[in-house]
Amino acid sequence: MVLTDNKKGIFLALLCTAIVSVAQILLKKGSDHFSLAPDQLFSQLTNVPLLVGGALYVFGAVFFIYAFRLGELSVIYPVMASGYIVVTLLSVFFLDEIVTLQKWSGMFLIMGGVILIGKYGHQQTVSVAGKEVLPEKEEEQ
Amino acid sequence: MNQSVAIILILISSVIGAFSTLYFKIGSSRPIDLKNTKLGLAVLLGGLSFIFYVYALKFAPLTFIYLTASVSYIWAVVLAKFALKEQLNKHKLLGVALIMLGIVVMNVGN
Repeated sequence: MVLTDNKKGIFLALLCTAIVSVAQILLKKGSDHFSLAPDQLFSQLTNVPLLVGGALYVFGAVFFIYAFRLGELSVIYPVMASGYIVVTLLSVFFLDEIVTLQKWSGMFLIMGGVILIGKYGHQQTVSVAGKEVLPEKEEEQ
Repeated sequence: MNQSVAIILILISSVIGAFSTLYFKIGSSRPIDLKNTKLGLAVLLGGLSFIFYVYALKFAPLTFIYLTASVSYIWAVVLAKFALKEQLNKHKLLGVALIMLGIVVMNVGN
């Protein structure tokens, strides 16, 4: 199976979403002990969830850019909406938050949209010498 | 009164945010370094969008915020089509509509 650029991009976008979602949960955990008061400032250096969460955010940003490099904006950006689902699921397991039926319904709608775009929203490829390649595109300035 | 101010601020934030995303896309095709002015502009616009967003938070109930998050998908698709000449198909449009509806359903009334 030949991976089109969008498929690799979608894979990176999902990876980015997972990383940033874990980062958000860690930042939420770390924020419990967060303070900018002068006597508290130093103790932030040992606030492990906060530090790891922040680092993961930066790490996620790199995947974000690489995902955009490989895939279309109109595919990659919507696929990253899967973050709503991942963050909510993680908050159930790690923050003991409760998910209402209304939230589950919203999550299923989002999942439906992401799957629709991820599976069928592909850039059209053309067959050149038996290989699927992206069509020639005008250079953007 | 305060709510109309908030809506205007949120709209400004979301439009600037959309252009930030666009420049992330444009800049992503070049090497990631300090000479990448497109990525620089993307980060700058992202920051500007964030300032309007935080300012809007002062006036608006949170529900409005989720509506903006939802509207950002329209901007992304519009810019993809007109600025980047990407092809849209009915799966993309239906998918984006489902995502937008899902975000609203997840958050309205909570």
